[in-house]
Amino acid sequence: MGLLLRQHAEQQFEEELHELKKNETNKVPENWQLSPQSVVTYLMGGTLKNGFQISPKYIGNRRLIEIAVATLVTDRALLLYGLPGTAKSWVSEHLAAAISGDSTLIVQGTAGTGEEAIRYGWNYAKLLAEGPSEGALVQTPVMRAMRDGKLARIEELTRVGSDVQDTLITILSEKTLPVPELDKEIQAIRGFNVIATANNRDKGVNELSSALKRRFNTVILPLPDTIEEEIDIVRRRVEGFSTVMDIPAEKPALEEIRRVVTIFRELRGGATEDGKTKLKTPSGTLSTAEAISVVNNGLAMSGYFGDGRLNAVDLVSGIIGAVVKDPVQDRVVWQEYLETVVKGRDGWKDIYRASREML
Amino acid sequence: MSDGIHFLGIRHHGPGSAKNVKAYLEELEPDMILLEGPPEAEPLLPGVLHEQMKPPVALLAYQPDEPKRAVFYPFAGFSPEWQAMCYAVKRGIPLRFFDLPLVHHLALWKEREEQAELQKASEEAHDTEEEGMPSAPGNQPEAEASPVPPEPVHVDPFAALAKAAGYDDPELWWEMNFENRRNNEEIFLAVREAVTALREAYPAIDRETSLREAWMRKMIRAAQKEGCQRIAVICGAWHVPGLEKMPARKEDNELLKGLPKVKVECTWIPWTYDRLSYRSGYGAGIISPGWYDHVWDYPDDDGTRWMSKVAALFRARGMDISVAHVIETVRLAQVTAALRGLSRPSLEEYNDAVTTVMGFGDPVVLQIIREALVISDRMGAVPGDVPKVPLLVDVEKLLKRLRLPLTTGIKEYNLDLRKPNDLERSIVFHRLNLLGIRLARPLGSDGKGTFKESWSVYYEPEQTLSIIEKAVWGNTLAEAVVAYNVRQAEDIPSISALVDLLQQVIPADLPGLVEQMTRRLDALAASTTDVLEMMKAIPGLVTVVRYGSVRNLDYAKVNDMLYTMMARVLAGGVLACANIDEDAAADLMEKFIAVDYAVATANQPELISMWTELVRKVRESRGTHPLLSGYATRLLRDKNILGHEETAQTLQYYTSRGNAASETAFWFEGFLKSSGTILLLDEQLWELVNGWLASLDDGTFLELLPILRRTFSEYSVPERRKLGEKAKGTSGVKRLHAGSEAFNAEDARKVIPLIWQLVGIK
Repeated sequence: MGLLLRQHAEQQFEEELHELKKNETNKVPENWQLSPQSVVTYLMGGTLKNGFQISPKYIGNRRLIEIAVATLVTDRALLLYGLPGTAKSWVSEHLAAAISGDSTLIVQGTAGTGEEAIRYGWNYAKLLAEGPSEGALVQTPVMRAMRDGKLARIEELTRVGSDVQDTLITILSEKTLPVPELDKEIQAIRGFNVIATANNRDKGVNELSSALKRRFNTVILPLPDTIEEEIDIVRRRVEGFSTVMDIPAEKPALEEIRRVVTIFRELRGGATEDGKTKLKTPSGTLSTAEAISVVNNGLAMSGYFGDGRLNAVDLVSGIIGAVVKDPVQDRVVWQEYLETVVKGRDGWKDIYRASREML
Repeated sequence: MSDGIHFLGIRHHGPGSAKNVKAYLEELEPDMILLEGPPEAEPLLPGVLHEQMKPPVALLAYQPDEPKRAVFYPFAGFSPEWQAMCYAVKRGIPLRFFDLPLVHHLALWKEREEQAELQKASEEAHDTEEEGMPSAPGNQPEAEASPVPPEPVHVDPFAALAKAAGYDDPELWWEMNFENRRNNEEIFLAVREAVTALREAYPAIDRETSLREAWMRKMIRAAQKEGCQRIAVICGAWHVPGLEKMPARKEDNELLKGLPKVKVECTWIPWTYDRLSYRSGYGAGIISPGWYDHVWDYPDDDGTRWMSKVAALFRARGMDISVAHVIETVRLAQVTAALRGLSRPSLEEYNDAVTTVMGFGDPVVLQIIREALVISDRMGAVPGDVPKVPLLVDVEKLLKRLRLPLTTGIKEYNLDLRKPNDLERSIVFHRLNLLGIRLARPLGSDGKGTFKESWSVYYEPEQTLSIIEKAVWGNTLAEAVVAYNVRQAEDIPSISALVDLLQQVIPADLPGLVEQMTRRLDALAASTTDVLEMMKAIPGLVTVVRYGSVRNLDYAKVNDMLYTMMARVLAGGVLACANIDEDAAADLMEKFIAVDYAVATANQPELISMWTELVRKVRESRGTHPLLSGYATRLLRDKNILGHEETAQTLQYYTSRGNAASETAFWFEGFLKSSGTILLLDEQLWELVNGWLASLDDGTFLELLPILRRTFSEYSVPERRKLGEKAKGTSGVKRLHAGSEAFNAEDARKVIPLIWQLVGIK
């Protein structure tokens, strides 16, 4: 296990899930691993009766998670919607891990995702050799989830073409998957449901048909409300990362994280935190997830190439990479931000100097 | 509960409390009900069952000699007090309001205000209004004081209890524990215990609360003495422990001795749900009157009915909401409530579910629900025969006759003054405004002289109060407006302010008032020496005269006043223009422009000749400020009173060497005031200026250049460009008149048929 680059949620938080199960007092729906209340506790964190600490996985509005879990209790599917990097996939993974104990039944939606990736495919060698048979069928994650009564995850649903999206309608409303070639069907057993994620920025690319939309309950995951909340998210995820990645750097300095988060929030919001200076916004989204990766990147840089301490130079290349997505326009945005905001800010000289060198 | 006294601790406006009170009373069948409220309102009680009575309504208690000092007690159908009143009246059970009588309460309030005044005087400190509120801290303010200052923010003791129970929101906690229960056995006992614990933790109560509780105890004793066996005491939960412990009678009597007194009168007035809601600033307000209304009407609704209402509302707004949506929403709300450990969903769960299922995650849809369902604004009604002040009766009668029903929300009226009914409406609106009752507000520029008027009508309960407040001025609207404004006019020291008021009075159709105001105006004008002030009044007077003629009213008196005013201006005008500085001259010129415009619109030959006379005098006077002199010259030239030669001569005079540069500059500025386009089109004026300019020698020209530049820089850019082009084209050479030569008879003939066609002559 130690060799794995990244563990699944159910592996990484095995102990927490185990403790939650042990302390279960509420009614557990059929084929669920935990009661809905425990699932919420798993995501939001808390202390169990025996004193065991559950770490928060999602930092933000508890009501949203409650609604998301309640949706999965009813037989409606859940659609997590939001800007890139607002922890949609993260929440979906943890929900699947906590509810089904398995977050691996996942279909990545792309423009090229075909029907066979959602319903079923054929092993053509076997199909030719044996003719249509159960053995020649290639099961998709969705199909397996239906059979086992688990949660299937579909990432980036709106990237998938409309015709393919609509194959979900029968699965979600009738809870069945017909296989006409074999003259049979797979009926979902209790516990099956679908969590899909979709992206604000893809709005209008492959809009969900209203028939499909009606089968989903939508929960919008917002950007963090306050700078403190965002810093908290970045810090937790980065600390998790350095243990996973075995990076020899010191624990990330809160101050550095605060600076990265401030830069991202300001550029994203188009104004400085004090609201006094108007700023241009770059073309990228500058989500919390990107802030996390910038800090991780900086940590790795300082761990392997620097003195093991996170400093401005390590961070700046990451920041520039995240901000300057368009080499012409975003560069102007960044330079303007440097000259008007960073230059004059107390104690930010190092960032200013480092980025001047790099641009 | 000992001695046959049953304490029912309630929260004002809670459907749960209301239901519990009703159920409890029906079971107990008391022979006496003591209800928290002002004893003065007892005669109004039978009104609750009147068929025209529709909650939400409020008990309004006010001091007739000082109606500003007033208290509202709002009730909705789901208020426990309302249910208790209905029960008592229906069963013929005696009900007494047993709170401290308002005669004392308001007097105490007044006393405290006066003390605060004194304190303020010494301390130079703050907000007496808030200190003067009758609601005590730590006590749920059930009555709303008027005229609605922001309620004081105070520590809610129930918040502490809610916090102890692990709730952030005390409202939610109360709702979960007391309002939303279906099983209500011993609920009042539970409330009592909780509040007793609270009162022990917060023992301090202010004087007012202790007085009120002493009075309440006195009333309980009185009821006991009368031999009542089953007394139901209904009051705010907070008071229960204070009433249970009976101190010695003497102690209370001591406390209540020598209370100050004022006169108080009570009436019912219609109230609105919006004003019951928290957001209107009402201290004991509730967040969602519409939701409570629903809960009261359908206590067993599992959400289906509420959601169907929501769906119907969305459909009316063009959103596609299917029955399946409703089913899913109800289910999600129920599951969410279970997940949150609630026995049944509250409004919050329903809102979350609506957002998720119907709004696709976007809470914007809740905005639609909020106005129409959660607040669900509506207005109550009171029977016509409750005692009211005559003025209020008159206003209500007028509004009814003119079919102007008072509703919630803003309603717009577009009136066509040629229709008699609309004209009357307009008159009533104007009169109400003149009394300071802002029931109807004029929209936009009211475009005097046209036949259209737009008004937006918005009823607020305070307006009833302000009508009562103005009741001293007369028993009918017309009487009150006249008396009130005559008094107002006497206090106005300046002519222009008086004319402003006069302008407002004209459309209210009160010739008597106009006459009195004109007299007052005349007196003011006679005693003032301020010509400026009088000049300021002239445009207003002209408007009055012209508007009066539109409205078929004869205001000959005002017209006479206008002449008198002009005569006075004529007498003192010239002097006013002399020996003044630049700012004063600029100010005066604005007045000249305004008066000139007004006189031109009035179009009365005599008036025009008087005005021209003044302008001529101003021009001729040597001491006149050059700015005004310049403007006067221009005015006279425009009116063809001053000939070409004469104008040119004056121009020469003021631009000659002997003048100081600044004088020339001012004169020029006045002469060419905002007339770039006129200069372009008026060939004569152009020749005059251009000819003069071309005649200057180089030295003088250079000297005058800055001054000219200053004048011309006021014109717009296109004007300046065109002037430049024109100057270039003529380059100072005298151009021939655009006369006969430009006229081509042949070409002109071609146009004639088309013109005939255009004007309809074949």
